[in-house]
Amino acid sequence: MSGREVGPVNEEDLVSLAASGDDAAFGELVRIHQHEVYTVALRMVSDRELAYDVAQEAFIRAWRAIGRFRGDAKFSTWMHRITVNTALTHRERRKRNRTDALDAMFFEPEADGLTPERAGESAAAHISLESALTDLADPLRAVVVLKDIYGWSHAEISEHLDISVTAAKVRLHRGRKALRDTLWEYKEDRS
Amino acid sequence: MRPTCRVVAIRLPGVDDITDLSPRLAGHASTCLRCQAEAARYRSLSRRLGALEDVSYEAPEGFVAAVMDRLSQPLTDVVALRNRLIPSPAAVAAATGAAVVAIVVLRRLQAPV
Repeated sequence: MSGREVGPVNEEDLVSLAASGDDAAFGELVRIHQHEVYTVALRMVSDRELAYDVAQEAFIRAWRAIGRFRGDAKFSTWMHRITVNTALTHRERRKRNRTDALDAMFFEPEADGLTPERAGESAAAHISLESALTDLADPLRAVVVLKDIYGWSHAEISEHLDISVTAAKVRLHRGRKALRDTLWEYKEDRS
Repeated sequence: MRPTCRVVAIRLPGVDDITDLSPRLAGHASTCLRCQAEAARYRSLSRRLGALEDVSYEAPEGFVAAVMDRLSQPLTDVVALRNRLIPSPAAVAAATGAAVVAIVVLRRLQAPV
């Protein structure tokens, strides 16, 4: 995630304009970061409809708080954290409404939006791993997503999820083990 | 599965590599094909998870417009609320007129015949 040039105006300028109340500048930031924010939301909540709401809410929260954004971190990093926090606050709602299973999420035509950029890893492999991730329990998935996909430290995870560092490590351990068992079918190794 | 292999299998999800295990377990794993295969699975898992950072899903069409609509909603709501709470001059005049008429009617009714 890096600051991107946006035509003649760079991202830092857009953030400054947005912080001064320029909603058009903020709209440009939304346009730039929409897919990234939506993806983080989707991985956190494993529900496309809810991810859409979470991503929207994250941008609304960002708009309201952008006057306090000091630029210590990149805007994308700041948005990422807001999205994670928003997803966590929507967890209860997800528990009530979850009806769509993994297959519906990642194997419907809308999954055409998948844009693998890493050579050597097939889209099928990504989908398989995403599917396995979605099958993880919420607390485990949140830690695996933040640590192993987005590179958060245990301390950062602990702070944002309001759990101890030890609990974060335990969840990561369990999450990785569950993924390993799903992807490599544990039964074949027990013999 | 040998007991030491079981212990290594239990520990591996919590470490980045077999070299992070205790010296005894790391020593075993360095010569055990089963443990090395298991460690390779976790390395593969870690690599594949890390690769997902570069994989994104497209936000649904109309997402930006929907966000921008929502940005203006609180302001719209405030304006609507203000319109309801602050009466227009015509409404004030009508209410005043009605009050005056009511007072006049009441006084006439109370006046001695």
